[in-house]
Amino acid sequence: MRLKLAYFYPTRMNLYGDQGNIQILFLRCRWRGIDLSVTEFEIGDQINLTEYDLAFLGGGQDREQSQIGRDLLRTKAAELRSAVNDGLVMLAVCGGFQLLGEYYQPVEGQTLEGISIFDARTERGVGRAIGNILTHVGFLPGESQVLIGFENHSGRTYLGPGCRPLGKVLKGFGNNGEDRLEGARYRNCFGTYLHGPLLPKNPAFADYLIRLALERRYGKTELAPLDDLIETETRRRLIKRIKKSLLLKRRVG
Amino acid sequence: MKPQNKIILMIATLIVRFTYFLSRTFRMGEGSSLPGKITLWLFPNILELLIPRYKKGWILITGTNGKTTTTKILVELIKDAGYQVATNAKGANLLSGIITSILLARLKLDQDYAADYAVFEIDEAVLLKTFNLFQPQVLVITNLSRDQLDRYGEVDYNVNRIIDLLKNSEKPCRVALNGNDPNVVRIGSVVKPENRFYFGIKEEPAKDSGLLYERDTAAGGETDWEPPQLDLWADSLQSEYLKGSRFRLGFREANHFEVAIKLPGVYNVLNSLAALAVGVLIGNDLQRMVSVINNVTPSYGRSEFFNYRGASVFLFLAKNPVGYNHVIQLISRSPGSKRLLFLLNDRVADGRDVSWIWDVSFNNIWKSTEIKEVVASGTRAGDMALRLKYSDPPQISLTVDYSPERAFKRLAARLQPGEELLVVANYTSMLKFRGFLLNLCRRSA
Repeated sequence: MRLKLAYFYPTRMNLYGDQGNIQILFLRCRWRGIDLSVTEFEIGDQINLTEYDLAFLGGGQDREQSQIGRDLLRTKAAELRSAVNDGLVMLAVCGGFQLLGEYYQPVEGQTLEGISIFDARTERGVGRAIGNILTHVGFLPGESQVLIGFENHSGRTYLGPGCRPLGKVLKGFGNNGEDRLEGARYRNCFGTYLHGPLLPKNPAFADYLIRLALERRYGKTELAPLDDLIETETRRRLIKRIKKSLLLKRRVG
Repeated sequence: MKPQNKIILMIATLIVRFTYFLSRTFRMGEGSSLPGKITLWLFPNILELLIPRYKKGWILITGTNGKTTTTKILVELIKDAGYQVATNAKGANLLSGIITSILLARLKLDQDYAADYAVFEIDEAVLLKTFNLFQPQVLVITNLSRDQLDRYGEVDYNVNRIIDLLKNSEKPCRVALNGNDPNVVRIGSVVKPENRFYFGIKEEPAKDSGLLYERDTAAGGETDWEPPQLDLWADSLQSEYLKGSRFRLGFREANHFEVAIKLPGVYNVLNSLAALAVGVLIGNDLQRMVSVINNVTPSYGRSEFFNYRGASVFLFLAKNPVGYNHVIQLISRSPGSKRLLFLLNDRVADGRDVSWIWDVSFNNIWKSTEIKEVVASGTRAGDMALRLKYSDPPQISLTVDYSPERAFKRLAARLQPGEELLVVANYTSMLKFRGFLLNLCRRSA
């Protein structure tokens, strides 16, 4: 089986080890005999996503984010919106998540218009939310329902009724520090503040994305289990550590 | 000096030495931070008394990587030229550590000056706050790349702040700049040419290796940039892997010297150039400096060699993507069978966010076919093991052990004759492990 992934702005939107997410998807596909090919798209590239199954958009510094915001609107917004409505499996992290909302207000400079896939608005925050974060998501099985990550953002994101949150914050700040919600989901498009990066520490979520993509293209599929010994043990220790550590309290101020 | 100031310095010295002694005795760490913190709390203005006590002024070394080694080399160069130097030897580069270092050294309160030069490495964030206080004679910027985003913020921001500092500086400050790093060159563009001195590597291969700066990402600076004319440079680089490097040193078309340093890796060629650049700026003789630099040995935990029961053990500090990639390149190219131990901690001094390991090109390490096994350890051993697992390694043993000491002993026990054991550690894991290793080597010697 084959899957195609569109990787947006790999050189400009790759803060905090974002490309790790791609590596995880690639290897977890390969280990199951699925051929995942990755195509990179940069500023100015026109896109046609009909052939694509997955898409990824990472985070960047504010300077890059405004360039990317303009380019998304100019050359990619319409195609991305229609692909997501058609079930494209997409993951957007941090800055990428913010740009998929209606707008993003950076700490300095003008408000950036987003591409409105999510019914979400990101306001300017006072201080940065920095720290380990645990989120509970409903769509994964058992132990894997706890997503582990690290957040570092100044924006405060508020969701409207047009999209669901990705999960509920167990420990950490999340979208805005008020409603205990984290990330957003609209159809198969996921936005989140969790980096670290997200997928290596949450292999069940990686597999969930792969399965959604396979089902969309090939119909009902079962994924072969992988040897996740290191993943499982690392998760067990991290969850314990993050839950109990006083030092890991969020720094917002 | 006013009598009351003398008394303040005497009290501060007593406090620092006493708390240093206590924290060393009770093993509360290296003891370089707490004494300075207490002194700063009691005497918030103490720096104003300490700063003028160096006859020829301050030389500050900042940047993401290479601060400690550059400082060490420079101190040896200046001492050799007959000057007295104060410095922070153990890489304690926050304000508290700098104050501890000063007050632990001879203060000579009966004299006008404590030493000729103060040569200190300084944390980038601390420099931003204290630059005008120090009014350094010379500022060295080794390189600027991503490091601990949760602590320092984004690179662009820091580059712009340093530019503002130099633009608005009251006294002109001479700067020695890495001409291979686009972020540093951006800073140089606002400095008057007569106050600016560029050092760097002249060869294309070195530039193409992607090691001189973080070229693959936006955080590495502009993709299109004009490399400046170098005042002091190295070319004809020859790596002797873990044993050091040879290169030809050039200075403004006039002189060429053959140099053979004992410090391994391209990054130490740059550190050597940085130190030599300052030496030239303050009027040291280049030929004489070359003879000194050939004998400089690695500093504290920076590609440091240990002999453990006849086996070669190397300890490498690597705490951010660029620094790590340098070490990985060195390891993957150096010949000989080896076993590797990677230590990753997430204590406050490391930055709590360990995401940066995903920006390190670990896949390059597998270019070496002589790696027999890999063990991950430290407080985030699991994160490190996952990073290694997803770098697509060949079929070799990859295991996790949360105790670095136990991991090391087990690895050492499996060493075959002729194999080397290489330990790569980030900041706090290096500090702790180095102490352990020193003890172990002493006891087994």
